[in-house]
Amino acid sequence: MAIELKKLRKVYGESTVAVDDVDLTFEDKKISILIGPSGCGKTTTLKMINRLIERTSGDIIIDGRSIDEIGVIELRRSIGYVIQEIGLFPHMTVFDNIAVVPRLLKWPEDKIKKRVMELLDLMNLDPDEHPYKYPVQLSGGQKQRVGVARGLAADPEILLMDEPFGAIDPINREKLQDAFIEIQEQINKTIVFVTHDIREAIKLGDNIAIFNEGKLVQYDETMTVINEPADDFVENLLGSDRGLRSMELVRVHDHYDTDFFALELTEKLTVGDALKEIEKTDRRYAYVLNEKKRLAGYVVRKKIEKANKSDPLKKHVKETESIHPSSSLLEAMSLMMTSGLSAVPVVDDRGRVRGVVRFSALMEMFGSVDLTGSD
Amino acid sequence: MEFLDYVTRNLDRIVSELLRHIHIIAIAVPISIGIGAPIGIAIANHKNLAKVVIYIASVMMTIPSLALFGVMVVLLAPFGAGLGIPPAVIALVVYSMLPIIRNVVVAIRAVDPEMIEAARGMGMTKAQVLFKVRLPLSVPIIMAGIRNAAVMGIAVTTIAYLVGARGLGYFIFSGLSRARLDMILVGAILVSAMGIGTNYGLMKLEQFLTPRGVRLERQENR
Ligand SMILES: Nc1ncnc2c1ncn2[C@@H]1O[C@H](COP(=O)(O)OP(=O)(O)OP(=O)(O)O)[C@@H](O)[C@H]1O
Ligand SMILES: [Mg+2]
Repeated sequence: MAIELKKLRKVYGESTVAVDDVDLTFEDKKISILIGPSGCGKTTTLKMINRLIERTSGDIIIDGRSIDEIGVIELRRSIGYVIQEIGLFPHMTVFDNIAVVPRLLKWPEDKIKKRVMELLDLMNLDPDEHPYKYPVQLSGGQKQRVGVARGLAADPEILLMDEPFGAIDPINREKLQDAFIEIQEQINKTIVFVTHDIREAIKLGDNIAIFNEGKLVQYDETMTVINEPADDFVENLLGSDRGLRSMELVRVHDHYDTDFFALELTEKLTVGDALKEIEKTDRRYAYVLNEKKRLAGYVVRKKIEKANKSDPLKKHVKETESIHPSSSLLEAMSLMMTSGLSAVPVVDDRGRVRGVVRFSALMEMFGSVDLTGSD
Repeated sequence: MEFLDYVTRNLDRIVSELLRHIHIIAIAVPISIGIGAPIGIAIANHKNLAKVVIYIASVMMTIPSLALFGVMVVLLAPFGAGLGIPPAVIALVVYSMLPIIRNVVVAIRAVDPEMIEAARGMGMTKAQVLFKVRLPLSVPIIMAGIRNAAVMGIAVTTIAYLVGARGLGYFIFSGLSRARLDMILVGAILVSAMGIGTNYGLMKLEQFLTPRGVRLERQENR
C-alpha cells in the first residue's frame, strides 16, 4: 500500500515547526528511507503515520483513505511498528512479545503459534531454543530480530521502523541489514525506515527522502540521490567518497542488465550455426548455456569468425567468472578489474543466468567516481 | 523462669490476641490496596495532581496515632463504631496511603516511555497498556510499598489496643500499667516477630509475583 503525505505539517507548541509542509509518496512494496540530521523531523513524520503524534495540518492517505477515517487503534494494529531494542517487553517471552498484536486481534492460539514459529524461522532464530527466552537473555542483534518479527506478526502491509538497528554494533548491524534485505525480498512490504546512517540508507533504500529542519530537501531513487544530489546539503550528507562507498553498498540485484545474448549448447552445434545466430544481433560475444540452462562460458565473435566453421562450438567456449545477485557492485567492479572482462554474468543460486553487469553501465551509474579515491 | 511460666499459663490468651492482631491487618491491608492503588494509577500521569495527593498522604502519615484514634473515637461514636476494629482499620488505611500511592506512582512512572510508546504504537488501548505493560513491570515497587504499609500496620495495631481493638497491644499496655516485665516481653517479642515474618513473607510473595523476565533482568543488572 502506498502512503501519501499531503502538505504534512507538525508544529509543537507555539512555534517549533518539526515538519514543514511535506509532500511525498512512499511507494508500495518499496523501502523508503527518511534521513537527515538530529531533530530534522524524521521521527515526527513517522509517528504521524500511526498517529502516535497527531499532525497539525495536511493529510496522510493510505490506500486512498485518509488515516482519520480509520479508528486509531485499528490503524495501529494494521501497521507494523519497530523501534530500537528497548521497545521489547522485558516481562514477556520472545513468543509473547511476537504474539502481542495477533492476540490484540484475537487470533486463535494455534494460528498465533504457527505464525510465531514461521517468523522465528524467517528471522533466523532457533524455534526450539528462542521462543521461551526473555529479552534480557538475548544479544542485541537477536533482540532486534525479535523486534522486527513482532512488527511483522499480524502480517501488516506497512512497516514503520525508527532507527531499528541504531543501537547495534557495526558488524552485527551489517548482518542485520543483509538479513533484512533478504527478508524484504520475500515479504514485499511497504517500509518506511528512519536512519541517520547514510550507508544504511544507500544499502537498504529503494528511495531516500532527505530532511533538513523539517523540510523535505530531496526525495528520489537511491541512485538518483547519489548521482544528482539536489544541493550542497545532500552532497555533504553523502560524503566526499560517495562513489566508492555507494558502489560498495548497492547490490548487483537491483542493477543488472537483463539484455544479453545466450546460445544453448548442444553436441551438434557448430561454430557456423552459432555465428549465424550471433550475426542476427550486433553482439560482440555470446554466453553459452549447457543443456540444463546453466552457464557454460562464453564465445567471442571475432575469435570464432576466424575458426573453422564446421568445428563444434564446444571447443571454443571459454570459461568465465560470474557474480551472485546479492554481491555488491564494488565486487562486480573488482572482478572486472582482475579478470579483464568488460561484463560479468549474474548467476543465481540455481545456476541460472539472470543478467549481466557491464563496466560501461557502472561507469554511467557512478559518473565521475574516482576509483583511486582514498577512504 | 517467670517469663516462660507466664507464657505457658496464658497460651490461650496469647494465641487469641495474636490472631486478633493478624485479623485487623488482614482487613486493613486489602482495603488500603483497594483504595491506594487505583488512586495511584489515576494520578500517576498527572504530575501536579500527583504532587498534591502525595503531599496530603504524607501529612496524614505525620498525625500521631494517639491523636488519630482520639479523633476517630469521637467521629465514629455517633455510628456506634467508636471503639474496636473500625477505628483500628481506618487508622491503618490512613497510614498506608502514603507508601502505597507513592510507590504505585513511582513504579508506573519508572516504566520506560519508549516502551509505552511501542505498546501504543502496536495498537494497545489505554487499559491494555496498563494491565499488559505498566502493572506487570511495576510489581516489585508496588509490592515494596505494600510491604511497607503492612509492617507499619503491625505497629499501629499495637496502639489500637487503646481504643478497644484488642490485639498484641494488650500485653504491652497491661504490662506497662501493672509493671509486669514478662507481659511486656511477650508483647514486644510477638510484635517484632510478626513484623519480621510479615516482611519476609511479603518479600517472598513479591518475588513470586514479579514476572520472570523482570527478575532475570534485575539479576543481570546486579
Ligand atoms: N514532544 C515534543 N514537544 C516539543 N518539541 C518536540 C517534541 N518532539 C520533538 N520535538 C522537536 O521537533 C523537532 C523534530 O523532532 P524529531 O524527534 O522528529 O527529530 P528526529 O529527526 O527524529 O531526530 P533524531 O535523529 O534525533 O531522532 C526537534 O526540534 C524536536 O526538538
Ligand atoms: Mg528520531
